[in-house]
Amino acid sequence: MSFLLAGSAAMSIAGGLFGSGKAKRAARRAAKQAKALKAKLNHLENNRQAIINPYDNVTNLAGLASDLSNQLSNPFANLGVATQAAEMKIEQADISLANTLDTLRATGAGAGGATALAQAALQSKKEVAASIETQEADNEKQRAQGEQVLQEKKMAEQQRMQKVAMDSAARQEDAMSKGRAYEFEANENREQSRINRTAAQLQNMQNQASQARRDQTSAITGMFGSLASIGASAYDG
Amino acid sequence: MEYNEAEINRLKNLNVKKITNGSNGLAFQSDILADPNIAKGFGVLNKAFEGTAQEFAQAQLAINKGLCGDCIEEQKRVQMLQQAPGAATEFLEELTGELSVIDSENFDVNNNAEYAILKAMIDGQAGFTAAQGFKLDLDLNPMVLKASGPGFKNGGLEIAADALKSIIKSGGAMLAETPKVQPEMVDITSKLLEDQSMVQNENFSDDAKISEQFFVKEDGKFKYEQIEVGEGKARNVLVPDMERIEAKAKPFLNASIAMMLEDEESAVALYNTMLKDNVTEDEQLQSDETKNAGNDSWVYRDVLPLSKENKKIFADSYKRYWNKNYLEPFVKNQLPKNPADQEIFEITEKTSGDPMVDSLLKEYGVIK
Repeated sequence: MSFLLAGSAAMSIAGGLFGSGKAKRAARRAAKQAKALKAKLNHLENNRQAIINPYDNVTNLAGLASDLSNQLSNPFANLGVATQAAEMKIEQADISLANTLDTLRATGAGAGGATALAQAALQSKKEVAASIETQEADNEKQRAQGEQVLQEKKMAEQQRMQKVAMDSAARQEDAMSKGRAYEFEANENREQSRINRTAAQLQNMQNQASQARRDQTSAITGMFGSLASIGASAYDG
Repeated sequence: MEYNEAEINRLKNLNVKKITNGSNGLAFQSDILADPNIAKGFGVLNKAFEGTAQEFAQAQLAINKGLCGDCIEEQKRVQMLQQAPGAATEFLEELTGELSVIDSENFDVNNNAEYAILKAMIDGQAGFTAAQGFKLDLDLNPMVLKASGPGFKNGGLEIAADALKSIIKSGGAMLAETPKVQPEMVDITSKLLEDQSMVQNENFSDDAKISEQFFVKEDGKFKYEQIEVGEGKARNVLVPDMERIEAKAKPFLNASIAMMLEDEESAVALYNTMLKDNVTEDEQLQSDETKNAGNDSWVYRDVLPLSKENKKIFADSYKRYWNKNYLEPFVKNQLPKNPADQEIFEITEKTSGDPMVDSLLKEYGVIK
């Protein structure tokens, strides 16, 4: 087998070497550029602003609604009975009776007068007692009514609180759901966009690499054509 | 005048370029025109395989006839010779592929000039033939290409096939290729444009302008600054909102820098040919020879791999380059949008209101 290459055959081989060498390098360059592009994409990906959930700061405002029911009180709960007036009345009655008794003594009135006086005194005391009882009954009635109103108001406040809490929680839940949906969609879009871009760029680079390989193949084919012509002179030496 | 090694290297590269680009000077050198070796090449493969057929036959014969005992050496010889043609073509293919960078746009003359001489020899360029004292040989075992002649240091250049293979395999290269910077720069600016369609074929369209949001507004109206246009006249121009521009462009600039630094030798080539001295691609195209940073150039063997400091220098120059060539034209001296505000006007001098003080101010040139 002869390894001697001569004349135009050697020139064709050199041309083939140049062509395929250049194409090979172009393929390597394309691969390198693809790697660099990937680095650029990664950098953009790693340094882009984070997707925010616009609702993630939503708080349950129910806490702002305060239960005011504990501040409610029954204004009639401690109503005092107006005993001072009753006491004055009793005192006046006693003074009046004492005066009457003095008059009776001075005029020498009999036992019948004393009895009448005692009955008058008793009557007066009974009236006072009845007045106090009436006041106490009124007070009790008002206290009960007050208590009833208070209970109603407390219930109304608690119901309001319950409503506020439930409405707020519902809104928060709704907002959170929307936020999660937004976050998902944004991520999804970003992922898709990244995939599309990377795919497009890689496709481009692959096309370049394929073209480079085709160039290389055609260069080598030409070179082998030259080698084939040399083959005829094999073993000449 | 004394030259340092890097300068000599650049000069060699520039001279080889001049010659291979068809310098007219060559036509006047009769010895070159008379050289019968031009276009004939060095016959590297011919010489390398000279006598190998006989060698192969002898070794094979000895093995076949059992004349060599265990024939280990002969077996090795036969194997090497069988593989040699394929290995040689592969080696030369890789080598010529690497050398093709020399013909690429904006080739950095800080690359090793000996490779440019070698390429000129392989290309059979006039002035780089045996007649000028150049010599090119290929040793088969181990496979090494040896080049010598004018311009080569220390007796010549040697490139081992295994070494080249390992450099390529590791993603390295013999020569740095200058990357295209314009598409990247245009892409960064495009993020500021009013419309993405203002970029076509990696260049700006004639009506390209940056979005209004990147100019300062006060109370909903554009803020102006006055620039003198001569003869005591001035005009209003828009004030760019540099903070906003930077905020918008920064991530894209940084990503682009990260991409460039992925291939450090190319980043060095870009720094030497364009970034350091702020030379645009258009200016390079119009230049007779690729411009370079001269003595401020980075020398490949000294700076690679790039240190943290050099990466920062690269990043800063990259940003400056974008700023100067791809941002400034869109933000500097931009006329107001309102046609009425575009008029040129007389510059009114501010006076103190006191005639005596004014005369003093005039005397000292504070006012006219």
